[in-house]
Amino acid sequence: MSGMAVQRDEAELIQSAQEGDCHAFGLLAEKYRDSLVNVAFGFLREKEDALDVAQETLLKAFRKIDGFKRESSLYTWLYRILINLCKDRLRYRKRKKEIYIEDLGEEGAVFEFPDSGPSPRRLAEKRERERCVQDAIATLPEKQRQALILRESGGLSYKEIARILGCQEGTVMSRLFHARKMLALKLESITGDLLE
Amino acid sequence: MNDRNKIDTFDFIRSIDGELTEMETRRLEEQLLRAPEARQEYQRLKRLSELVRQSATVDLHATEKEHFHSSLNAQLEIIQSKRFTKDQRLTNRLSSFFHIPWQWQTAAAFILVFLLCIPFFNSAPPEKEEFFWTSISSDYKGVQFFLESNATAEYDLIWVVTEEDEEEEEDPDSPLGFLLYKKV
Repeated sequence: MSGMAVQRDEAELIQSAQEGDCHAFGLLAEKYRDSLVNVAFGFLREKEDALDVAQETLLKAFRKIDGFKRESSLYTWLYRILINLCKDRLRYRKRKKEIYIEDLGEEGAVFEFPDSGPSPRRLAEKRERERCVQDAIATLPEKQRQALILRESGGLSYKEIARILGCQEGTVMSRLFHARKMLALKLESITGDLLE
Repeated sequence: MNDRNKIDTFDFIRSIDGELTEMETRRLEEQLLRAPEARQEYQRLKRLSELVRQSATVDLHATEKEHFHSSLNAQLEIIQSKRFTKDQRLTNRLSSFFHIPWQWQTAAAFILVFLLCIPFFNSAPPEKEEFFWTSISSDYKGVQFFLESNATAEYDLIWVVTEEDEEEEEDPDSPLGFLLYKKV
């Protein structure tokens, strides 16, 4: 019953947003913000970029809200926009990095940013662990990575992921299974005790 | 382990992702109790899922959330005002027309009507569609009879070929007749 009420509220908010009410869209944005930022972070691995892309997604959605047909749900539409923007951002980064390394020459390849300062040991360990996992996720095949990030970062169900990626629920399950299997192997090869 | 007790690896994944029904969850738990190795594998996958979730999610501070929304709302308002401006531009132009003095409005209306009527004033006579030569009779009265009965209704007479014209013709066999345009 409450689910239906929420659904009806969302439909009303979409209707208002389509009529040009930006405050109604702001409420929708608030609802999806955390999940969008998390999914963006899953892909981009940088908080600032994740916030930036999540905001860009919402702005793009508002600009195009007139063209949004109720055949699909809003989240499907939003996540599709988000994934495409994340892909664009990663492509841009790759190009930028190539230029950056070319500019720095041989020395550029080994250049590292200095640490921002000493941090507590546990925090450092946590960061290191997270970096290992993020590195391992980054090496997964694209489709598996998308399914895994939508599931773990976005907290979406198989059905929702299937709609966003345009495939069957069984395919989502299979991609998640293989992604996790591959991820476990990679993490064990890097650091054996991570899954203990 | 019989077929009933055989654990489907996909069930691990579905259980971790909260996709199993209540009955399926109970059955899996029972199966895991009887199979320590499977239980270990299940725990391993669960730990992996937690690790991924921790690594691939970000905690937003209240200030970050606030900044996100204030910045977003400001930009949403800009988009909304632009959209409003675009929609209103035509309406405003039309409404501004009604604010000018009535003499100017009348003059503008006359000019508009005049401009719309120009194509009718300048309309050229319809082009003649067909031009042909028909020979019907050597009898001039016969030609006249034909003209009276048909030519005025459907054709414009151009020229009646008489015996005098005939004498000027190089071809002695050229018959008497008349030139007509078919009316469009």
